[in-house]
Amino acid sequence: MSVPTEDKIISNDDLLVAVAEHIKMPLLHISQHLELARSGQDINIARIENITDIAMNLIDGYIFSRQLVPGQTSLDLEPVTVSSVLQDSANKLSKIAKDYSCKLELSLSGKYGPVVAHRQSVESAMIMLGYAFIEAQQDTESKNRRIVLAAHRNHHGITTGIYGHQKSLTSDMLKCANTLYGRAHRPLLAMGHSSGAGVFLADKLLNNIDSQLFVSRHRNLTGLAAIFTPSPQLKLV
Amino acid sequence: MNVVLIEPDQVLASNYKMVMEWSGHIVNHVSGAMAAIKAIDEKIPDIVILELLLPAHNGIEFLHEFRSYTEWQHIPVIVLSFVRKEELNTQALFEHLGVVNYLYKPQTKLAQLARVVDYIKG
Repeated sequence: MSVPTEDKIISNDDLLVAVAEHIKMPLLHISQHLELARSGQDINIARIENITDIAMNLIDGYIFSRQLVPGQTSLDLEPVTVSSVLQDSANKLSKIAKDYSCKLELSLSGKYGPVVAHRQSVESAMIMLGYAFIEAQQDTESKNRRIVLAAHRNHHGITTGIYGHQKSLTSDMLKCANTLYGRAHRPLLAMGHSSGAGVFLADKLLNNIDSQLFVSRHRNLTGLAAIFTPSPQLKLV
Repeated sequence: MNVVLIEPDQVLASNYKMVMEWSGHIVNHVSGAMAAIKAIDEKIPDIVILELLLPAHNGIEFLHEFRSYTEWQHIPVIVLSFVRKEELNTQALFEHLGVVNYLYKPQTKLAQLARVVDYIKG
């Protein structure tokens, strides 16, 4: 049975702090909408539902990220179609993207065979990343707000991720941010004003399936992605 | 009263703007520090409401730049932020950077913000 190291314990506490900080925003949205309703104003119920869904996804993501049992180094993997995961993620993000006046696009060029991954982890990671990128677009003029859920094949495998106008996002910044979450309000400055908890949670979920986030480029956009390896055996099935 | 609201979150900004406009104030909302400097340069407000956690810059940097302009020295600033007061040197904020009130966002109702702005106007 593997015993968590002190570093790992600190990391999980920091992640919990980052998630707790991040949850304040959706809860404040809900509280303010209720205050407005109490004063007789018409409120946008759909907006409350959308932000609640995102908050629940974040909490579920955190709980799920802790699901590795002692002795287990990764989750059981399965065949996953990345295009289907991205399509489902896009569907779940579409309402919140609209609330934030952010255009959401899918970019899936070519056919992708199944990869070996864990569907729930990948989808949850993409949704959390998607929300982090939508939040990060808010200092951009609304007509220019855009995120792209994309997959493209390269010699490493299938790079799957979320992309936006985060030009200042670099690998060094991501590396530094991984040491700061839970301790700094904005460990990832390129992601705008938010704590970026979704990024770190996504990374944790991907770590559980032996993958990780890295800074990636897709056309003229910068984003965060993970690489999944197509399985030659699955192609034969 | 003319208010410049510096708030990066669109939904929160819309709610803050709404309650202040009900109280008869004119609210100019911007999302970041540079847009705020530009907005204040175009039309000097009576009050500035500021979130410290801004994209690209932080609110303290903005306050230092804001206070470097002599013609803006008299404009009061209300900080309305997710950062707890205990995390900062508030003495410097109040004494040197012209902050007149510090509100912790999660515990500040919309109606309370409107009352604070009205009180400063009064």
